[in-house]
Amino acid sequence: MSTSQKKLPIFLDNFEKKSKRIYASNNTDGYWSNLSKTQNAELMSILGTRTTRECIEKTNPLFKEIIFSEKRVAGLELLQLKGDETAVDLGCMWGAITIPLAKQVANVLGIDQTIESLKFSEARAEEDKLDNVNFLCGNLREIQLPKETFDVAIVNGVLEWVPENEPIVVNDYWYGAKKRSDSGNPGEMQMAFLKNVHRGLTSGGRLMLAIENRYDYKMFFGVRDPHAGTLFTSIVPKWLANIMSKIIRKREYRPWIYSFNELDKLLKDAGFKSVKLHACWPDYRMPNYINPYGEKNKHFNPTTARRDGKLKLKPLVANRIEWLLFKVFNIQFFAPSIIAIAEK
Amino acid sequence: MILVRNCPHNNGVYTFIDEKDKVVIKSSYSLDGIARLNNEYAGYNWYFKKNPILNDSRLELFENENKLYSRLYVKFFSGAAGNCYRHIEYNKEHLMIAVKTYNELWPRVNGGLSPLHGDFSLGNLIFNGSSLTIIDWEHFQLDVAPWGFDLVNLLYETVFFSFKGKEKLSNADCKVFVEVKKAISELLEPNGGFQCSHDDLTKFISANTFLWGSLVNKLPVMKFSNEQYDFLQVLEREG
Repeated sequence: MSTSQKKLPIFLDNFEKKSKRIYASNNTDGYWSNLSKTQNAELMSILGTRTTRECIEKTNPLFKEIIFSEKRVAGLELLQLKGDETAVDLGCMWGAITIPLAKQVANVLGIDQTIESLKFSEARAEEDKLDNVNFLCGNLREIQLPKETFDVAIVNGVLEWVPENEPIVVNDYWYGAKKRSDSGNPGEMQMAFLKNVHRGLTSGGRLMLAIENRYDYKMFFGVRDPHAGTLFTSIVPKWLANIMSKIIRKREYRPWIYSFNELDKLLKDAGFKSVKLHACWPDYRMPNYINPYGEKNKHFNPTTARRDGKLKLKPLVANRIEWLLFKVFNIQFFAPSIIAIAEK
Repeated sequence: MILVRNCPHNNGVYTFIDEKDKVVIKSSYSLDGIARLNNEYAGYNWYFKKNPILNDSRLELFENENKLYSRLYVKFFSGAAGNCYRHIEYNKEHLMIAVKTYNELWPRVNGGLSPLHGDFSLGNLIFNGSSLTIIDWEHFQLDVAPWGFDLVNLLYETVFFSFKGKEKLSNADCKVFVEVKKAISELLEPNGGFQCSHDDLTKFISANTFLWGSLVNKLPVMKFSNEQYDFLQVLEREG
């Protein structure tokens, strides 16, 4: 066992052990889920009576793909893991990345604030007979990672949510009228989070960060901001996004996302030595195609289906725009998503 | 590294190309996918041994202890893959090269069974002038198919896409089909055994679906419409 592998059990000893694989920090009140608390309670009530897959099929079949699809994990290959690493998955939710990752490396810690999601992930680990994965329930802004412990850190679709202070049910988040806290500067909160991740990595350790591109071409054509649900807020300057958001949502624009160049700078400011950016289509969740940012794009083909049964105008136009932007002119600046591999 | 394919047909296999190191990297977490990578490793092994010039090509299979994850490295072959979506008339040259290469490569076992590529489609054949490299050995099995099966499959798959969903082929396509079919038939065992016909092809596939798993229903040669089938029958009979 390498020294970094010994550090993880010592770190977990600081927390209360709730079950075989779940540890709890002193703040387990957080909530971020696609499911409401009632839906989650229903899911929890049948967990253990059948396989996790069947539980989702019975209660929330729409989420089956996003939780179980193997397509979600393709990006991990960019790390070319050796198998002896200790990894941390920050904001691991239902274990979509955590579980496959545990099949590839020596040890994995999944951290999330939603206890229901962790119980679900624990059941998945049990099913797959994985004894090298543990979970920690707590707030990502509060848990201080142990110094130089992890060889790999995963931040998959999480950075943009770091500035949110209150419980989130994704569907209510867009249209809910609930007044939400605007305390703290989103950029500073994200930076503090990244510095914490950097601190937890061993020297030469790597962070894989996946996030939407602020200048995704679709946002210019009236597709809503993927988090705030408002129009054009990601592409305009922050002061203008704040004004627009205050009119429509009665609050600041907080789920900040970045362009390729901005993300590169952000990660270097957080202390990372080198950053390798990748552009993904149609998004980082279920990528069909990933290319090193800025390099030749000769294997690219538009990822929006030109026709889906019947010929429809929107996909056709999107397909042709993709073809022009990315195949003919190779302007990856407007690619939908970014996967960054940053080395400490 | 470029991700070029992410679990097509839900097969659980990720395919990356590393252009700098000229290597293709395939990996999988699923049982199905891991089995495919094992087939592919065995297939390339067989193929590279048969081809002295390919003998030093990179081929490595990395499995973790628990067999929950596999990763395969294979040399990246440059050249242009064939295009099965073009008409058979356009593809005549490529088909003839494929027939010649197969004939030189595949061992004949008197009355016995030969190795199977299983996805011997123009898209998996990399042409470099008159030479040909065969890739994508995910369905490889040693000694399970009659000699020539992959060629017959190739011909009928190309014909399938030539129909373009219509009921008939153009005269030029018909002519090339008959020519290639003749070239293949001359190489097959003359009496009794497996013949170059749609019926023999689909009969073998139907009797051996395990070789393709869930993909068997997606094989183009299994998808001819009744009208297309009738048209082919006439063409096969009258030449």
